[in-house]
Amino acid sequence: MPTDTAQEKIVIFELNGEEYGLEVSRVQSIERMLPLTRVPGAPRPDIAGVMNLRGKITPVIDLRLCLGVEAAPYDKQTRILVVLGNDGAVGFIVDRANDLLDITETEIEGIPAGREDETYGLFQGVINRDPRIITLLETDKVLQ
Amino acid sequence: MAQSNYLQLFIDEGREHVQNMNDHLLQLEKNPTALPIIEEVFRSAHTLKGMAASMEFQDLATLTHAMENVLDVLRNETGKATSEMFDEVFNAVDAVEEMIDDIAEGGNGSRDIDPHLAHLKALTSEDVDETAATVEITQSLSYDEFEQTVLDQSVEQGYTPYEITITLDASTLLKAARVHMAFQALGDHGEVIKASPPVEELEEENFEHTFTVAFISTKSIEELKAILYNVSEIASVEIEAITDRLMQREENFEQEESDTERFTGKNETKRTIKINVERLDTLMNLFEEWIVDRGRLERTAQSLQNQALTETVERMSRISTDLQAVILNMRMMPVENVFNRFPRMVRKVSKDLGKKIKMEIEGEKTELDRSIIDEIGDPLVHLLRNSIDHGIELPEHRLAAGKNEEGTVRLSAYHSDNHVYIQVSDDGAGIDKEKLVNKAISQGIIAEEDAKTMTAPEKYQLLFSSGFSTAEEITDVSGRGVGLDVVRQTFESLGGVVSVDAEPGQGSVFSVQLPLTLSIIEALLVQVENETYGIPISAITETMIISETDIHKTYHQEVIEFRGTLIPLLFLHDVFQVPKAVGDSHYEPFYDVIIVQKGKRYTGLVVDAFIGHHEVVLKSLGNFLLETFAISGATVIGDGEVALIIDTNALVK
Repeated sequence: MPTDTAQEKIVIFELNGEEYGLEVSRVQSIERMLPLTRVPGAPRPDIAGVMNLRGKITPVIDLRLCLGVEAAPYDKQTRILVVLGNDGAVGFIVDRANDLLDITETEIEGIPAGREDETYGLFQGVINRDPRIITLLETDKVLQ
Repeated sequence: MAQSNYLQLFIDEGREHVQNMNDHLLQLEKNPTALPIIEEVFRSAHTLKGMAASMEFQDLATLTHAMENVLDVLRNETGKATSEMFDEVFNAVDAVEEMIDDIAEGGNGSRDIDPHLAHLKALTSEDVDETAATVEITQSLSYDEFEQTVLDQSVEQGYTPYEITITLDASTLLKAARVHMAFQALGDHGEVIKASPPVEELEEENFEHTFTVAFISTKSIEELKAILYNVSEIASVEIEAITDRLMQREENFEQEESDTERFTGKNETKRTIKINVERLDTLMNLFEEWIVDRGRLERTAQSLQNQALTETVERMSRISTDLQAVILNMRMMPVENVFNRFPRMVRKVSKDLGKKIKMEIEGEKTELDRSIIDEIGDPLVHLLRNSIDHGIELPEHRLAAGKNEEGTVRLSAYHSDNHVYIQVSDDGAGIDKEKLVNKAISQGIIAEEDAKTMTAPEKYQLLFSSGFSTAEEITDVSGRGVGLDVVRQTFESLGGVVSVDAEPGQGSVFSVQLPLTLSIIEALLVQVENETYGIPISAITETMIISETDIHKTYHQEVIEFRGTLIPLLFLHDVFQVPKAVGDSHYEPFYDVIIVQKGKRYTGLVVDAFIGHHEVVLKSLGNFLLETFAISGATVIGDGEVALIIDTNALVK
């Protein structure tokens, strides 16, 4: 277990103008948008398809759909975070990803009240670096 | 780490020896006086003992030593073998196997072996030694004619022949590694002519702590000692120049061969190496990427129309086809790796059930891809148990039916076209198909009116329906709720097809058709709107173009006539809810149809266009997308995009 002063690096990414973060240690790479192949009848509705990641077939989740944010077309800023899960690598489509941040465990605050919808369990908490508010993803929950 | 490498080697070889003992004990039981078979079992027990002792698995060494004693008695007094004795030795082999399994799972293989020791001891007149004795090594070497010649010539060329006796520290863990280092150190300064125990034995750590090599070099005894003492964990080195001894060769010539040589002498070693399976998988992955790039290169060459480039690419393609054959070949293993474990199981199950059964195995050298071999063991066990339990009758029933009281279960494998077929057949009671139909109706699996139109094979196929069970009573062997449907699913997940045929009173035959290899398949790429899908050629009966007027409708289902019957037509657009491509909307009164087959049932799949035949590398979609309907995997096609491969089995109703 990490101690209270444990340092961690997180990747900051954006969805619909809001900032989110996840542990750098879980991110294998950050890719520009790649061609996706739709998977009909995929077990989750937020699966955008599969991509060819250097020869490996990798499933890709549209994080907007996963987190209940309104869908948007992909553009030049769109990135795929390749995240290591228990069942291998999975891509997360985000609007943009362009920052790294050092945080300490003590900085993580609970989710403010009023966000308790079905996506509530997908977050670890928030980091308040006024004026920036960063919502931390609970990666394993997203991958479940 | 090196330690775990040796452990893995120990486990692999230990299992091989267990298998070898099982095989030969079974043969010996049929032919108890055959000395060569006894020797073979003895050899395995002996080697296992040596390996276990050197890896410090004490219980294992003690038990194998006790087995050796029993076998030794047999060897000296052939004919003394009793059924009871075989039971005890088999039990001991089982214990050995469990100990090796325990070691494989990280244990130290220790277990209570006293009951086994007591039983084995009772079978021998002599006392069972409580500690494992290891092979004694005769220290001075003897040379055959060839070796003599080499030594003589080396003297003529100014080399000095030595006999070097090296003793390792008693605490040395990785003895084989030290041996290797010693040999390497020596190799830099001369040449090793002979070793005792032989090199293979040394590599298997089949020696106590001391070994002797014959070595030719220009170095002096002192220099060689210095070199060898540089290798850690070498306790002592004795070096003797044998120039003089060579002169009196005749005296040594007839010297008795050492104990160890007697056991290895017969084994003609093939020039093989063991390769870690992971490395083979890596090689396969790299080759798969190569194939994808090859496709891209071929297309590029085609569009550039440069003759030199085209020729080079063509040559490369041919080479990579050969390369593919070699790599796939490397992954092939004979099915005997799975078949081997069945005779013991059949012996046990038939004893438990009070049935007399002869097991025959054919075609065990037939080869299959390793990844398939790994999966077929359990379902085959199920089929065999099924044959013994439900197929073969009790001896008295067989006699009453005018049959030989001993039933036969035959397991055979053969290679045909691009498939391997495995059959489990028995000469038992067969299967009453009408009874099957009635059971299926009463269990709600089929409707009564369906039964009237069913063909005989379709009726037999009911055995594999999920939820179907014919077991009249729950026996210990099968009928435990896990039915043949699991067997069918396992084989189907490997791209296999299971079928059954039977003749009441004569027996039944379960046949499994399996692909040779899983990873590279021939596929027909097809286009549906803007999407590309692959359909394995093995599933395709034929492709055709039909006119709109060929399509009929019955029960809200589109059907076409194919080979005299009506078969359902599925539009992949609907099955996969493919979004309409924009722009391209011109109307055509013709459809491209692919007829796919599952058993005896056909279905027509409608697509927009056939793209062509391609050799593709089938890749898994991963656990994350495992449950996707009618998709068995994906492949990367020439332009780097991913095409999904359709599991047609899921589409044929």
